[in-house]
Amino acid sequence: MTEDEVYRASTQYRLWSFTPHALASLRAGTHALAAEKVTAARRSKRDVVSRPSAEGNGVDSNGAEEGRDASGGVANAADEVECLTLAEAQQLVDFYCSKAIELCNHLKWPAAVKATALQYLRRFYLSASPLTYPPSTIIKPTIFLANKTENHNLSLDEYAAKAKATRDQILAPEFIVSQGLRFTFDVRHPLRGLPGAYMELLSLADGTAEVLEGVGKTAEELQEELMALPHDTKKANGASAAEKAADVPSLKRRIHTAYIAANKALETTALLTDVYFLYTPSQIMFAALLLADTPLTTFYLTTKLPPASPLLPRIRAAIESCARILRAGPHIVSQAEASRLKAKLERCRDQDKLDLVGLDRALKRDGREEDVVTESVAKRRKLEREMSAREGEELFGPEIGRRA
Amino acid sequence: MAMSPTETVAPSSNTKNTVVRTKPPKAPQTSNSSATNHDKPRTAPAPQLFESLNDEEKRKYVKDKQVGKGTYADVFVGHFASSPSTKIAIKKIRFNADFKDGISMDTIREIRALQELRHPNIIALYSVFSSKNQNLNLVLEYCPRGDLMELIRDTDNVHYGTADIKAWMGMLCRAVWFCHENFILHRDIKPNNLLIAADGELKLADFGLARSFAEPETRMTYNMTTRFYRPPELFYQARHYSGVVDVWSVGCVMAELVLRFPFIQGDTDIETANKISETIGTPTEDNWPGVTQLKAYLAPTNVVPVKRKPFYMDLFSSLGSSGVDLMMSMFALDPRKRATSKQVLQHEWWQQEPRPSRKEDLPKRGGGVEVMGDDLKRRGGELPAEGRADKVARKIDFGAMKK
Ligand SMILES: Nc1ncnc2c1ncn2[C@@H]1O[C@H](COP(=O)(O)OP(=O)(O)OP(=O)(O)O)[C@@H](O)[C@H]1O
Ligand SMILES: [Mg+2]
Repeated sequence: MTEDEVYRASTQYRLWSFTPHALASLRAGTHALAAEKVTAARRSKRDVVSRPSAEGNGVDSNGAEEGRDASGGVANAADEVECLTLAEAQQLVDFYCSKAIELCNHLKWPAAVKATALQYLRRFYLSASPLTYPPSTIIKPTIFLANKTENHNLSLDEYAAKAKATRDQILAPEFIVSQGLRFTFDVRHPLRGLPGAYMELLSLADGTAEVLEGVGKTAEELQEELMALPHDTKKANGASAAEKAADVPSLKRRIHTAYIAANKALETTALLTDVYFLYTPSQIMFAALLLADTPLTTFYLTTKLPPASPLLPRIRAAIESCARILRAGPHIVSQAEASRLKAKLERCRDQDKLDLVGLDRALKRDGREEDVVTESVAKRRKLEREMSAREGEELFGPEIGRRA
Repeated sequence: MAMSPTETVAPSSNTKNTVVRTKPPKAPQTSNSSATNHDKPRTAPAPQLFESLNDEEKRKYVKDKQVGKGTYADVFVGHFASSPSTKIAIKKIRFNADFKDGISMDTIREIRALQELRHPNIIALYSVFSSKNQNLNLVLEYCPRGDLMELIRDTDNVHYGTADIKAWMGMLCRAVWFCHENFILHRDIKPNNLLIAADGELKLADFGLARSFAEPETRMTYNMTTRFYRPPELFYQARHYSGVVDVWSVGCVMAELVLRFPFIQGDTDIETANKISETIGTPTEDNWPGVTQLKAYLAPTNVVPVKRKPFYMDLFSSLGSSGVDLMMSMFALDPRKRATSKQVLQHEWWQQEPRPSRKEDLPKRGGGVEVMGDDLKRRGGELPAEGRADKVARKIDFGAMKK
């Protein structure tokens, strides 16, 4: 079984990879369904309300009635609720994604947890609309879920305190989010492959690389070519753009610089765009490297595949188109615009889902009786194991650099 | 490392997915199932809000009677609504009143791992849905023939030889290799988590402790694996461990298949760690550089030299010399010297005589009779207190074997 086959068996490929067109129509479809529900609910409510007062002052009293519910008084005159548009809904999601990154950075969480949380958010909003589940209520629970699935194991209480939310606010939507993720929790990150690529580049620089069959060059030859590589001309890096990497140490510095830049792109830009939906992790990783140092990455690619490989043009095209998305970056609206969108959302959101905490509590209350569990010794043991494991993580956790 | 850009197609092209993998039974499936639409090209699914996806999923399965009980779940046999003859297992996660942090970690781990792992020797997860009140249900491949522990323990009725052991071990090792290839550690490999499917295929199950080891710096917890199958680095609380923790457990299963009782047993962690030291050898700086630096390393009072081949040949001669080599490679104390799951699969033992039994010829439990629901009585991982295994174990005095 090849790496490709392993990847294609993953849920990321099976459920969460799309053509740009499929992705767009999925979002459009979701938005249309949610908007229709909001409008229909609004309309039926209006019918009910308007019937008794129809002969009286009509529109005005209806409007007052409606304004109590949600509308800010703009929509009540018109027959239709003014809904967030598809584009606006997506802008709002993107805006909250950038807020989610800020929160993860504030918590000083590992990149993998942050990246998973972000991808969860983006996946969730493929089959759920902000109209139904406003991002403001979803991001904190989603980040906590990623904390669990990535085995980061910050306890709920600690998290709630740090994220400035109540336990209920974090837990109530957890199930909804999991459902929206279709219970697929694994996310394959391009970040994972980057250190490996970095090591390979370093060994190419050292002239000690293991050369793939079919590449047709020795490690020494590759090293020489690498040393002779020009710098990225498009980047006006002042002096360094002019000079050539003549020796191994400066070559390694160059590789390191590219690695750092690629890493940054993967921790930010890649998480705020659609690249995870459109490309494989390795393509995204290469795209990030390509942006960081085009000649270096183009060369590196030739060492990964025989020059005659019929795949090469296709792979290169995929990497380049991914790099274009990364270069363009996310379009995050301003705080002011976000506030406007939030206000608009408040007027058109799904009234059935206003109180997620209350809904969840009701569900759990009903559920408990059906499922009362007689406490078994074994279960206790298992939980204790879990708890002591967690304590272990907490007590000894922070010393990641223990080996150093 | 998944970084060669050798994807044959950009994921954005709509080519047909050609990967062969385990398919759910032939019951009709619609494209909305979270776990079953893997063979469909990824065109845009008909837009549907996720709540209705779940309801649709739920309606596809019918629960019948209970067949098992785990620490945190009840297991039912059931069938597809559209195909009553196609059996499935439904693992219904019990609401866990003690776990206050939402969906329990066990559940998350199990679902996360099984969603990714599609392999003939790993229990297939067809779907996950929630029933009312947020109960999680895992729809699994049904394994009507019990687990490997039952076969190992039933020395009266179940008889098997090296060819059978090789067949079971082969299936187990392929499953473990596949997990590792996907950066997933199982961490709880033991005979009662190895289920037997209707066709005799062995299925690695119970991924409640599984976790990803993708991040090289991930900190790990050490008190996971069931004690008898736990490698020494976990007793010493090594913080960074890898796939070879599972390989140790696989070695324990291999030994147990021959002995028909657990190879390394102890009532407490310390006792079991001591048993490793007595049975396999005492970890020292010589055989395991750095071991004395591990957090919970206890300086031994009595250093037992690492056992050599004749010791294993005495106990496991039926496996043959190369079978014993393989087992010894799985029992290397130093995790860095232990065979990886890939190396295990590359071992020459698999190619040698006897050839592994065909799965349809493998022994069945109880000599063939199907005893439904008897798992309800047994707690996972526990030995019958006065069981046969116990008595046999007492007969072999490991202490006396020290050279
Ligand atoms: N797919 C299946 N087919 C048939 N029986 C099954 C299946 N899955 C589980 N069982 C039965 O249910 C029992 C409990 O399942 P499982 O081990 O997955 O639960 P658990 O809660 O993880 O238990 P524990 O952690 O105590 O081992 C198993 O020992 C087995 O008897
Ligand atoms: Mg079990």
